[in-house]
Amino acid sequence: MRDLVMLGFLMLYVPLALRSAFAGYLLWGWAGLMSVSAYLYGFMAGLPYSQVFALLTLTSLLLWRDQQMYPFSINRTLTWMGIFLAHGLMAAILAYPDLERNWELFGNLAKTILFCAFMPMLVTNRLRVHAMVIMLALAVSFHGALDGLKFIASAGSHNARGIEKFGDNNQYALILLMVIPLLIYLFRYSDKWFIRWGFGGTVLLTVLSVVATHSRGALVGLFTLAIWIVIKGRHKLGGLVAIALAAVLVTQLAPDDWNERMHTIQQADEDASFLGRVTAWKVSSAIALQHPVFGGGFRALQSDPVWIKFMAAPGLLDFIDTPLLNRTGVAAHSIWFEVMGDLGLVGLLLFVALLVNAFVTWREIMKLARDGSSRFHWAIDLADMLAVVLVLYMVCGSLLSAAYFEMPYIVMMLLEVIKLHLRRETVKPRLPQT
Amino acid sequence: MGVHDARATFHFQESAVIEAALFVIALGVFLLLLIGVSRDGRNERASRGLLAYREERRDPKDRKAGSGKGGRHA
Repeated sequence: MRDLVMLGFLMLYVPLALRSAFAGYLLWGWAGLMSVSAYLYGFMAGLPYSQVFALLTLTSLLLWRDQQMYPFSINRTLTWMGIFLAHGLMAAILAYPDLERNWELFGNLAKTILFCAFMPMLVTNRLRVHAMVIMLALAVSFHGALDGLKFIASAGSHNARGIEKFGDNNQYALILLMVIPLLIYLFRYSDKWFIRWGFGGTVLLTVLSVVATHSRGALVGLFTLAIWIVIKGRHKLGGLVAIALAAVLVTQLAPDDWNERMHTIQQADEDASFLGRVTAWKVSSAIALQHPVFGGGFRALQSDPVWIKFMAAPGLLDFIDTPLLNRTGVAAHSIWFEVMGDLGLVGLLLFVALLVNAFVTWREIMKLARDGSSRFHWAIDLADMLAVVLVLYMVCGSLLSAAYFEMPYIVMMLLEVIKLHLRRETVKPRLPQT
Repeated sequence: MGVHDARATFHFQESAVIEAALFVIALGVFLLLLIGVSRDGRNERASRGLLAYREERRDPKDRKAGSGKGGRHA
């Protein structure tokens, strides 16, 4: 039945995508982030939706001239992404043999950067930026709303695991956390009251779904988000009250085992799970020290021969005493150490440069918007929310393998797109010389 | 029904019903977004509904002054 409904909607989506390249572009991003096929169980489950919608976008670009489209051009963010991707390609080529996910992860990164490369061409005005934010919010918060509703219906006993694509509960929680700032932006800036409260309700459901993941890292993320909102918000007291109410609601609704698990954050230094992570970081750094330029290849750490080879090799964190972990297939458990082991120290530098570039772009947006007029308040607020998405990614990602998730790369390019839009809008007409 | 009853009686069937309903809603809402953007530039009505946004910050002072809204996209 669900497959028939999907088929029906697809018949409506395709003409719209062919009519407007931007509609096709939104479909492309939405299908990838929502992972449509994971919710289908029949004849529509096997369709590669992202690829189909990417092809539709390209077809539409060739067939029709989009009046609001700009020609392809290189910008600073795309340059950094291109260098990072080229470095990833070299790392994948020179990787240790038989890495299970080497080319798969490189392919995912390439697809994400390809998607980002089209963004400055198609997302060219405020309406399109707004539509892009709605697309991201709808695609990711679908999972959050779903698990939030299940959490309420089960009176807190539902254990959110997400879909296979997102990885484990911690990685899933990070993805959910990253969409909350976008939902808050849409709550603030949507014009119709029912749309506003639709996004507001989704914020609450997504917070509950984060709780339902039982991820301790996500609790730290929620705390980070709360601090940011209070610091940046215009109604600091109101923000504090709302956060306190939400905290009371969550602790009352969550089952006892959740509260017990969250209390173990205080004993991180005695926690076997945390010490296992430190061991994985040591091995990742050992790989990077042996291969500083191109690393060991994507997910080298999870290869049995690579782990055994570097298990006792000197790394960067040898001053921390950890037990020798004699099992294989261990994840890196940190975006920084993941990139370090996979792509070497040079790869890590490029990854950090990408993130630094995003915050430089954020500063540029602030300057352009303040030099402009009050009509650019939206750009300041949106750039702030996109920056907090990246802060959450860096904070929570420090304990997770999430270096190649689509969302942070899309957010980085969205910041670039906002900056380009403001530059066009704030450019002063040149006065004729007399 | 108490909290413990709700926890005990939540099963796969309820979960599947919630999932199916939300899936259809998600497809429908996304269709509205696509219709909005495909009308963009051809018809000013495109910006009404899901895509309608405020030009400026929603500020309590605006409401006091009687303007009600910070300005709409048209």
